Amino acid sequence: MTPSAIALGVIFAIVAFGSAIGFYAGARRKMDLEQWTVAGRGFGVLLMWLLMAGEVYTTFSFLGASGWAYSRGGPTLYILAYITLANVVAFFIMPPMWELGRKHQLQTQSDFFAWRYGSDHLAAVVSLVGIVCMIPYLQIQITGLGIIVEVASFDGINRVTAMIFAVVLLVGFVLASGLRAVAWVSVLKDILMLFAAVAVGVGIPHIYFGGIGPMFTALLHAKPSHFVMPGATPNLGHAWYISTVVMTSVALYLWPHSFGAAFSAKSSETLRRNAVVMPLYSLSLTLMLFVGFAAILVIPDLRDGDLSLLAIVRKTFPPWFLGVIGGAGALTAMVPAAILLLSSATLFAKNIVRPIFAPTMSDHEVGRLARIMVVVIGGISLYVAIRGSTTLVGLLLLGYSGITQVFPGVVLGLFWKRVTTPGIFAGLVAGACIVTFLVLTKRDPYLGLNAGFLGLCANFAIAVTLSLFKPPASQST
Amino acid sequence: MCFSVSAWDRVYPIVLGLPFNLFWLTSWIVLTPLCLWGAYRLESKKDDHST
Repeated sequence: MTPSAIALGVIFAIVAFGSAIGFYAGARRKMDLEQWTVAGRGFGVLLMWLLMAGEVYTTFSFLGASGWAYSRGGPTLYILAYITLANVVAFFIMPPMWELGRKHQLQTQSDFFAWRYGSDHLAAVVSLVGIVCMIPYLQIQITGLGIIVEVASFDGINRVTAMIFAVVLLVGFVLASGLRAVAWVSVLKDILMLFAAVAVGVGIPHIYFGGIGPMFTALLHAKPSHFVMPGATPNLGHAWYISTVVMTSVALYLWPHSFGAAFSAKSSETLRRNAVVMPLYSLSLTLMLFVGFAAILVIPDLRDGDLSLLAIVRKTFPPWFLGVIGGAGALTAMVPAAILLLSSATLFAKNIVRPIFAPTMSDHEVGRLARIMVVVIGGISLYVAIRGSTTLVGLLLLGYSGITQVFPGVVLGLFWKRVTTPGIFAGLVAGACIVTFLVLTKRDPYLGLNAGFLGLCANFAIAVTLSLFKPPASQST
Repeated sequence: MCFSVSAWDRVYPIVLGLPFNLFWLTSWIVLTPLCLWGAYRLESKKDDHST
C-alpha cells in the first residue's frame, strides 16, 4: 500500500466510526424539530460540557493556531488569552441569563432580544448577524478538512475536490442525525484531539531539538523577532493585541450556538462550574503553538502556514500516524461544522422567516425549511471556501468582529434598566456597518486597532447616548 | 491588567524553557480557573446566607 492510501484509510476509518456513533445516537429517537435542534433540552452536565468543548475547540485551534504560530509568530498569543478571558465573562453573564431564560421561557439569543427589547425585527437582525458571521466560521472547518485530505493524500487529491466531498458528507450527516448525534461524536473527537495535541506538541520538539527548552533556544537564535509582537506581521502590535483580546473574549459566548447553552443547562450552578473548568482546555493550544514554532526550523518556506502542523507530522511520523492525527483533525472540523450548520439553518427558519414573513408556519414547516437551509448554507460556505485565500485565524477574526456587535444588546439588556430598543438597534447596525466597511476596504487593523473593536466602541457609544436621550418610558414602543 | 502587554511581551527571561510571554500567558490559563473557583466559592457562600 502507498503511504497516502494508508493515511487516507485511517482517516476514513476514524470518520466512519465517528459518524456511526452519531447515527446510532440519532437513530434511537423520533426526530421532531425540538429533538433535532436542541435534543429535547435533556442535556445533563457531562453532555453539555462535551458539546461546549466541541464548539469552542475547532479546526481553528488544531490547524489555525499552529498556522499562525508558523507564519505570524507573536500576535498568535492572543489565542491563549481570549478563550481564558471569555470564560471569566461567561462566569458573570451566563448565570443571570439562565435565570431570565427560566422565568420567561427563552430558548435562543433571538428570544432574549425579542423579550427584552419587544421587537421581532431587532431579534431577526441579531439572528441575521449571527448567520452571516457563522459562514466564515464554517469556511474554516471546510478549508481545514480540505487541508487534511490534501496533506494526507501526499498532494494527490487537490483541496477543492476534498472540500466538495467534505461538504456533501457533512450536510448528509446533519440532515440524518441532528444535535444529539453531534454531542456523542464530540466525545470521540475530544479524546483524539487531546491525544494528538500531547503526542505532537511534546513529541515533535523532542524528536528534532531534544526538548521544548532547547527548541526555543534554537528558535530565538535563528529568529529573535518572531516571538514578540508584531512578530512577522507589519501591523499587529500591542494595540492590536489588546483590542483583539477584548473584542473576541466578550464575543466567544455570543455565538448563537454557544449562547444556547445559557438556556439548556440544568442550573446556573452548572454554568458557573463550566466556566471555571473550561480555560484548562486551552493548555492544549499551547502545545499546538509549539508545533507551529518547531515547523519554522524543520520545514521552512511552506507556501501556507496552515499546512504546518500536518506537514511536519507527515515528515516526522509513519503514514498511519499521520492518518490518526488527520482523523482527529477531521472530527475536530466536522463536529463544530455540524453544530454551526444546524444552528444557522434553524436560526434562519425559526427566528427570521417565521416571525417576520410567515407567522402561521407550523413547526413541521419550519423544520423542513431548516433542512433546506442546511443545504443552502453548506453550499454558500463551500463557495466562499473555494474562493477564499485568508488564513484560518484571519477568518475567525472576521466572524468575531461581526458577532461581537451583539454584546452591547446582551450586557446592557441584562444590567442596565434604561437601555432602549432604538439605541441597541442603531448601535448594532452602526457597529456592523463599520466592521463591514473596514474589512471590505482592507483597512483592518485600522490605526493599529482591530476593526471589530472599533465597531464595538461605536456600537456602545451610540447605544448609551440614544438611551440617555430618551426617557425610560419609551421602552415599550 | 490588559494594558500591561508591553511589560510581559518579551522573550527574556526564559522560564521553564519558554519565552517569557508564552510562559506568562500559559500560567494565566492555570491561574484563571483558580481565581474563578475562588469567586465561585464566594458566590455560593453568599447564596447560603441569603436562603
